[in-house]
Formats: sequence, C-alpha cells, structure tokens
Amino acid sequence: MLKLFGILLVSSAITLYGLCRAKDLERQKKNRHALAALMLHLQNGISHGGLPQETLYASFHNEQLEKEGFCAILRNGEPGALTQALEQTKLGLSDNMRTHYLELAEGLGKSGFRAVESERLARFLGEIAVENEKSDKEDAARQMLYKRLGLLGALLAALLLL
Amino acid sequence: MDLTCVYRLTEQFPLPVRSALHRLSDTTLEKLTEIRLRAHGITTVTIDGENLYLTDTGLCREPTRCVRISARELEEFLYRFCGGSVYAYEESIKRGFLTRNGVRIGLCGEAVIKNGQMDGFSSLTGLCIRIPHHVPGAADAVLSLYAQKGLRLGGLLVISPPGVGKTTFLRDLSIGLSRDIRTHSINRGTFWRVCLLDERNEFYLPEVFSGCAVDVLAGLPKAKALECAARVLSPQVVICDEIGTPEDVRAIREAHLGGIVFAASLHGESALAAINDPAVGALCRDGIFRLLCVLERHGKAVTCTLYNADGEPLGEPVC
Repeated sequence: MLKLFGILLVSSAITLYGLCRAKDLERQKKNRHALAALMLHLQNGISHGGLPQETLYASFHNEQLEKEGFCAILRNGEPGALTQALEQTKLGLSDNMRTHYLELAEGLGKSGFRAVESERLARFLGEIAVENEKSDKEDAARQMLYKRLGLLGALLAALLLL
Repeated sequence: MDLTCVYRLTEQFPLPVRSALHRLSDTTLEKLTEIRLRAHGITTVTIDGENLYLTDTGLCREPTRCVRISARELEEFLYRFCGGSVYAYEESIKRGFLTRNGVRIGLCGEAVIKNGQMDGFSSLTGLCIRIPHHVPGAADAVLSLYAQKGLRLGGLLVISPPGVGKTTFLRDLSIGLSRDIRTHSINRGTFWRVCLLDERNEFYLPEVFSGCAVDVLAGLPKAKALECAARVLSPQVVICDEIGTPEDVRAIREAHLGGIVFAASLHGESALAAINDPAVGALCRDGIFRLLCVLERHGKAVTCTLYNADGEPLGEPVC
C-alpha cells in the first residue's frame, strides 16, 4: 500500500513538473505579447500625441505585466523606467530579445524629434513581431514536449518502482 | 523663496555641476537666476544680475578651476530634465527652448533647418537654464494703484532689459489681482478674473498660484491664446509676457474692444523707447496701456518707475 502511494506520489510529481515547465513557457509567451502591446502603445502615443513616456506608462494597463510587477516600476516616473523594469523583472525573455529591448529602452526618448522615435519603435515592432512568431512556434512545440515528457517520465518511474 | 525647484533641478545636473552647487549655501541658491552649461566649456551662473564662474570650490570671479562638462553629459542632463522624453518638447525645441515645471532652458547648438524654418538641433553645445522666482510683493507699487482705482486704471506695460524680472513682476501682479487685491485696500474686498497667457510655460507655478482666480492658457501663441481666452474665458484682466509682434498687437487691440484690461511685458530700456516703437506706441496712444512700469537693476536691487502713456514719470522709483 505504502509502495503504491509512493509510486503515485513520484509519478504525480514528475507529471506536474512537466506541466509547470509548459505553463512557464505559456507565461513567457504572454509576457512577450504584453511587451509588444506596450511598444505599440508607446508608438501610438508618441506618433499621434507626442506624449511623454511618463504619461504613456501611466495610461498603460496589462494584467500580465501588472502581475509581473513590471507596470509598477514603469510608473515610478523616472527617465529610465523602461530599462529599470526590464532589468528588475524576470519576464523570461530570451537573451537575444532582452538585449534587443534593453537597447531600445536605452535610446528611447533621447531624440528631440517625434518622427525619429516613432519610426524607431515601428521598426522595432516589426522585428519583434517576427521574433515573437518564431518563439511562439518553438515554445508551442516545447510545451507539448514538456507535457509529454512529464507523462512519460511519470510512467517510466512507475514502471521502475513497480 | 521655496528652494524645492532648485533642489529638484540640482539632482538632474551632471555630477561636476551638482557637486559644485551642493557647496553653495541656501541663501546663494535662492538668488540663483541662471545657470549656463556649455559642452567642453566653462559653466557660469547669474546671481543678483552678476555673472560668476562655477568652480570646484563654489563661485568665483576668476575663471580658474571652472566646472566643465562634456557634450554627452549635457545631453544626458537634457534627457533627465525632460523626464526621458525629449521628443515631447519638439514644438518648443523648434523655437529654441523648452520649459518644464516653470524652469526654462534656452538651447544652443547646430540648428536643423527645414523649409527655411528651424526644425530642431542636430547637436547641442550649450544650455541656458532660467530658474523661476516668486517674489511676493514685487508688484505692490502697482497693485496698490489698482486697489485704489480699480480696473479704470487701464492696462499696464512692464518694460525692462532681459533678466531683470518682468516675468516675476507679472507673476506677482497676477496673484495680487486675482487673490490678494484686498490686502492693498481696506474698502475693496474683491478680486478679478485673471487670465494668464503662458506661451512658454514659464509663468505658471502650481505651488504659487494655488488659491488664485487665475485661468491659465499655456503653450499657445499669444495671438491665438488671446482669441481663445476672449471668446470662452470672459477674463477681466489678461496678463501675458513679451508682446511685440504685429499679430500680438492686433489681437490685443481686438480684445481691448471687448473691455479686457491688459498687463504685458516688453523688452526695452525705457518708457520713451517703448512709446517710440510704432506698434507699442500706438497701443499706448489708444489707451490700451495707460501705465508703463520700467524695471531697472541697480546692483542687487531692482527699482520700478511708473510712467503715464505719454512717458511722463508718475513718481520716484520704488524698490
């Protein structure tokens, strides 16, 4: 009885681990899309209203980024708020994408021309749309893999323990 | 004077300037009216109308050990000053300045020209930072006249060279007319609806104007703002800074027909010079400005002399 209970426990733990990894990938995907939404919000605000970043961050609401604590840092009103938020939160971005975002954040707002900022954001949005699509596909496959590995691992553990 | 504005600004300066300013006493900081930063050049300040060098050890009359900053530090300062959004000030940058929280920065550098108009700067070489001051009682001499005679006294033109205190004078006048006029007269417990046309966002300081019946139109060219104010705000008094263009004069003339009293400022040396200016002189002759107030700096003190519209003095200069 105790053995059966132990097998059940180990199998469940392995399955849950697989599911957790898959869920983490889902979270990362949501974060990527939320960040893209933030960039679009910035681009619209800058090109149509010339609004300062402070105002744009204050008017940006996204459940996912709120949960990550990202929005709270954005709203601190400091000039480098976006850089700080990217550095202080763990959104699970790939190294390449993180570097990309940090480079953008470093230069954002330094030009005295709205058109320059807006075009830069538009180009960036185009680039991350491609990156996001690629990452989404990869992550979907990896999510399935983690779920399957979790189940198979649980089965294998059960067989070995039996 | 409340030093919050100076302290807030000090924290944004490049480290060498910040360290030097931290060495100055509060009394000195209170008198600070201008700070000029130059890329790879010396940093100077203006205190009580006197130009001084900012050095590692404080202020100096000799250019030794002057604080110097790089072009990168200059741009970093501007970025911080703009709250990380320099582009948000694009329209005013095109006119050579930007203003935030009442602090005005004049820009120097290589201008970008587009269709014959300035479109911005490709690189910056210097900044002239004007720190706003509120001097309670600066306009007392004029306020007491308005308190006695009311708006029948007519419009007021404040004349002085740059940096003497026209904006400070008009700021105190607007506060007085919209809130404190009763303190100047026992019989009149009243105030007037004052509209402030703050074209360069340097007039209005929220902490100073709380409790005043002042309506502020900021960031609009004067002629447009005046048209807008006369149409929808029904002001009794309109206060604006630095008139002079034909559009301003035309707009003032039109608004005056609607019964609005004006208080404005003008760059100039004397009342006669202002009266001899064709456009401004015509406004005086037509009774739009019946009182001229000439501000002059004598050492650390600023005096105010009143003249009538014919350029005749109405009394001795008042400090």
